[in-house]
Amino acid sequence: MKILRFAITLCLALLLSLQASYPEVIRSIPVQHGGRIKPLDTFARTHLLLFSEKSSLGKMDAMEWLLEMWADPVSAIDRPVFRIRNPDVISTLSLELNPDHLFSYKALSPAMQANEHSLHQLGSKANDALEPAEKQLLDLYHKIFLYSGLLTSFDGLIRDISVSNPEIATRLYIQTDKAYSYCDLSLHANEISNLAASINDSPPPAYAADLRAFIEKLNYRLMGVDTNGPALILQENPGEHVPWLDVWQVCHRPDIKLNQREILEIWHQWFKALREHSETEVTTLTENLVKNVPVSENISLELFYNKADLFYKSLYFYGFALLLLAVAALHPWKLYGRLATSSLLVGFLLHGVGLVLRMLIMGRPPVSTLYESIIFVGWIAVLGCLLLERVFKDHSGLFLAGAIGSILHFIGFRYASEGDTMGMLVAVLNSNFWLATHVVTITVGYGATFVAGMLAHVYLFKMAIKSKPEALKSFADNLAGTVLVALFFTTLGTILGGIWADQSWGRFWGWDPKENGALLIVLWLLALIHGKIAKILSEALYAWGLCLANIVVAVAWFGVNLLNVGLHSYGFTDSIAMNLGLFCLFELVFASALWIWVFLIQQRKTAIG
Amino acid sequence: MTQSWIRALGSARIFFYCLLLLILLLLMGTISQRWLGLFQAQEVYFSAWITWIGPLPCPGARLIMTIMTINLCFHLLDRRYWALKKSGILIAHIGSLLLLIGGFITALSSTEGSMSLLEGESANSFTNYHQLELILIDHSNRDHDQIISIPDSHFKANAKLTISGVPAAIHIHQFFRNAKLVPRKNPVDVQGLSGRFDLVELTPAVEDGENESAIWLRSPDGNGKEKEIYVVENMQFSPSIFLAGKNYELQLRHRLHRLPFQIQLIDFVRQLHPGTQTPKSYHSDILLIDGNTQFKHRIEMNRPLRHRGYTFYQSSFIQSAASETSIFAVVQNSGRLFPYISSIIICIGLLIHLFLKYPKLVLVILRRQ
Repeated sequence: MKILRFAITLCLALLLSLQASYPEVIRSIPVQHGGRIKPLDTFARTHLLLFSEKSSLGKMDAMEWLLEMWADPVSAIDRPVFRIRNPDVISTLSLELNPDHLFSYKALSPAMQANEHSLHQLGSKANDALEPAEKQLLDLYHKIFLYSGLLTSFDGLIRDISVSNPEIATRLYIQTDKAYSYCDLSLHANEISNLAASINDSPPPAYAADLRAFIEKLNYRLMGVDTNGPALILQENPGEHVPWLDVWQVCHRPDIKLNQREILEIWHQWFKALREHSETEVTTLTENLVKNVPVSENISLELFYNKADLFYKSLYFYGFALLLLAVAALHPWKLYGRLATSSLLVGFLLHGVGLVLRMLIMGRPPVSTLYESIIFVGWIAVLGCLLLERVFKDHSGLFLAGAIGSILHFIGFRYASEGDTMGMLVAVLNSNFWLATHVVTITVGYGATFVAGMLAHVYLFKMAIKSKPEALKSFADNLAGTVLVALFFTTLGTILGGIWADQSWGRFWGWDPKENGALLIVLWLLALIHGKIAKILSEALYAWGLCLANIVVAVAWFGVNLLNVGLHSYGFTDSIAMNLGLFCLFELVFASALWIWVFLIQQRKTAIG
Repeated sequence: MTQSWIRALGSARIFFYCLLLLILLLLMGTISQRWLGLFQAQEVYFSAWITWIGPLPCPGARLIMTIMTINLCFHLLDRRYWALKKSGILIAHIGSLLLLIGGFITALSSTEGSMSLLEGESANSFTNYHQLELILIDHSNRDHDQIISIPDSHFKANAKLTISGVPAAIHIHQFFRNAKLVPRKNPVDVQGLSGRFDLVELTPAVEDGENESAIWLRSPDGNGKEKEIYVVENMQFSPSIFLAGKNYELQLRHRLHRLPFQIQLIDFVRQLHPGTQTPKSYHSDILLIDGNTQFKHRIEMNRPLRHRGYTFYQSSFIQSAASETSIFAVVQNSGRLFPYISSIIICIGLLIHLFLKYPKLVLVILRRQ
């Protein structure tokens, strides 16, 4: 019965996730971006996330949005896609406020041009010296550039340049009155530049005026040149480290070999079909193009991962479980508890599948960036809480699993909105062994410490509501066990980090902020354990200290990156400082309130007894 | 009687208060790194015996860890803990003691520096990252230079140094970690820089590599008076002094350590992630020339070269249009193996303790599998 219920919830979850839209084959066009081969779908999502902080625009998903930019640029530039929340920035650019905080390229363009000089100057200032509004303006400036580059990335394929003067045409070895694209004409670059030089002859040749007009047309097209277009085209000898080319780069490579010219011709036709909105033609041509490119299975895995949006769905199930538990607290009916467990398990499974997919797609251990540490710690914490529920059997484990899982998912989404979460790593991190050992161990340690910290809150609560001494004793025992597990993983993780540093940088310990942070967690746990042994800390004070361990983990995990100093600075952002500060403050107040409550209860007990 | 002394000195109370202090220092020291930089913060908080918090002296991390080590030693002598029930904890504590001891050995005896080589170039020495030396170079011999080196441990204000049997040959007036020469408003007609420049101390830079150190010396000029000499790092024209019948050129530089072998850079290769400027990997192909033998080796990220107690790590590089320079980190550390051994011991200890104390918890986890 339980298994059946579980299976049904799982199937529903997966079915909901597979919603098809637009010809799938276009999503799977391989693109080289950020150092790896990814589907065009991910390329589209990454850029839409960057501009609008979301991976879909209303009813339109990222791929549809990107295709509109190429197929119908006139409509595309009217579509509000840039998210600006800061009212200062909005007023500086003389824009009208709107409730979505979304603005179109067409609305922003004149404002950008008007402030061009100042914006350019901002770019040369050091990042520290900029005000928050200035940083956002500069950021927006860069985004507009990126957008316009994307917009014109296929313009080199527009066949609308023709030469009517037969004298020019013969000298350039092209046909008269035939429409060519910039890309076509780039193959005749030498002839064009020789001919262009002849304008300055005296006397100027008869075709001079027509030639000038022709060159102007070329220059006009060239204004759209940019290197932000998708790198779709393979070079002559494709190898693992050979960069792919985008259309403009190909235009400027007259050494293009014959088989690549054939592919270029297909791209020409593809773009023409796109502009003419003939979907079937586009699909056929795409299939033709894709079969010429060595595509790996990872592309389809990644497409599935994108579509499935597993972490979002996992969050729904965690949240639903919390809702069920809240209801169960009011109506103690056993079914609620069982449903909550099933819901949590489905969420946990989806979460885990997401992690596994990421590992398969990237071919590396699960934790290698700050974002990945967040989603991994969330999974570990949920695992720990589910295991503890087997011991406690009173829903506290379930509640904590739902709570920690949801919170960490939310934090993860905040980080995911910064772009492609599947980036390539810098040289020193390029070691699967150490990523699998040190990073995994230390994040498991973070997760275990969080679980212990959350349990400590529950423990203080139980002390305050005067639970039976035997129940408290068994809870305390399990808490102590969790603390020991946390100590084990954080100590092992810290030492493994030191060993990795010894292998990489030549020193086991450098008092680097990240190293200090990890040591801080170890020392904090040690202090609590030894304080209790030495009978300096009472049970309540020990529990309070353990609650604060959450602050220590948050500071060690996120806080040290804010210092921006040392060999470890890999992840950072401005608003994190404020959120971190708020969390620490909240935790301190909450834990202290619990302790004060327990203290007062115990005072009253001694007064009475 | 002795047992109660052992218990008192090995008690967890001492360890607890040491931990609180260490946690406080760690927090202050880490935050200060933003403004002081890693090297300075380490000197002030972590490698120090005494840390000054405003006017109050506080034990530095080194002192606290020394007390912890002594406390741990006494704790291990306490017979109460030599029981099967506590065996896990005992083993973990022994591992921790080894870690602390290894830390001290490293802190006191290790040498770290860098070596830069252009492609084709070779070297048999490396430069210390932070330690300095004042050198006196005797150019009198045609075949070789003779160098007298004074390490920075002697750079104390008003120290009088005896050189070549000449007492008080050099009188160190002041040493600045970071300084610059500022033209004097009223120049005096005296030989050397001191007439036209003042040596002004600067706050040490956040990155220690950006500091330019300087020593203000006084040396008897042979006529009963003392000559003022400034020796600054990376000076264009070195000052000189006359001692015991020889002329010595004075230089201030980062301490040079000689290697008993040579390293020659054959080729440096950097691979970028395609289409980006992010380095994917880089490595150096070198020739290790030791006496009569020479062997090729590859040094890359996460794979250093170890030879005769020295370890060479691929640290960084400089790429210019004309050439490539590979920069290695060179480390000599006798305490290198302690962390490896102690970490294994600590983990075994903690696992044993976990299993002994909470067999149910472990069995629950195993049953779930």
